[in-house]
Amino acid sequence: MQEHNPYAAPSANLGGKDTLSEPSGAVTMGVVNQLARTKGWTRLSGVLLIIVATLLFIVVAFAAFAFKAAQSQLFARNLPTFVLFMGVVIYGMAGVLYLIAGLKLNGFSSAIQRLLYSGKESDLDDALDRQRSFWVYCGILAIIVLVLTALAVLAALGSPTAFRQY
Amino acid sequence: MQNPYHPPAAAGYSGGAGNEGAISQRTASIMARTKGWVRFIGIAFIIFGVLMLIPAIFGFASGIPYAMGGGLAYLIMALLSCIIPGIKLNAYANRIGDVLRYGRASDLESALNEHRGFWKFVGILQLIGLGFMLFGFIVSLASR
Repeated sequence: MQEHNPYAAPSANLGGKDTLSEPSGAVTMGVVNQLARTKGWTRLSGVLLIIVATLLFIVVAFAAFAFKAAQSQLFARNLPTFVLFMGVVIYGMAGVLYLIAGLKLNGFSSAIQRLLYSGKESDLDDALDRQRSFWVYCGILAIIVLVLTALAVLAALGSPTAFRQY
Repeated sequence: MQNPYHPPAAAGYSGGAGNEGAISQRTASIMARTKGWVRFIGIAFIIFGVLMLIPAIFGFASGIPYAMGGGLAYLIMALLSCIIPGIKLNAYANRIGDVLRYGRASDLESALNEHRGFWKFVGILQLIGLGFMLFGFIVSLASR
């Protein structure tokens, strides 16, 4: 048991714990400090992504309502149903993709919060793993976008009529 | 025996900023699996930024004031939204390389510092963007 020294310099219990665990290798003050300063920014981006996803879902809900109305011939003369259908699909997919990215970023921020309270190496690994998961997700999305773009360019080059119209 | 004159230290964590503690195998493995994706996204950002510079160059070369203005806008967009974030992500990937090479906690701290820099930059850009959106919204309301 540690002897209490009334003359010891002041120290902050950043872990917020009653009992302090043994400090473990990678969980240094500097590492925790960097993650603590990252948390606010990732939380901001995560929340903004979720807000954008929510707005996209609202647009999808309105478009779906209009699509349904167009199908029931109520507005059939005025609304192009195919455009509405594609709007629902594309905006819906974009909303889901934004929502997943936002949830992953918020998960990373929450994992940092747990690390700040516990100071455990397992929580550091959890935070870093969530961050890795976010980058993997972004990377896979980037690959999909690049492939789709390449296909669109090839399709445009392969059909000269697409250019003749203009 | 405890030194009553030692400097203040936060409880619960080992050492300070310059601590040379070693990272665990699991931490190293996670960082190794992060590095490739961060590098890929960083390079993709820079390539996209360079592609955005092409219309900027044409705009400047045209000599037409409107086109030059558009070129300047493209230049700023390319730098802020693609090239600088791409450089920051590549710096993060480089620091992860140091973490994997030396396995020191201080290298992990440097890597996380680069990571923090990226998110801070992105966050500030988002706040500026939100500010512009709010400004546009107020102006559109006021002009009715």
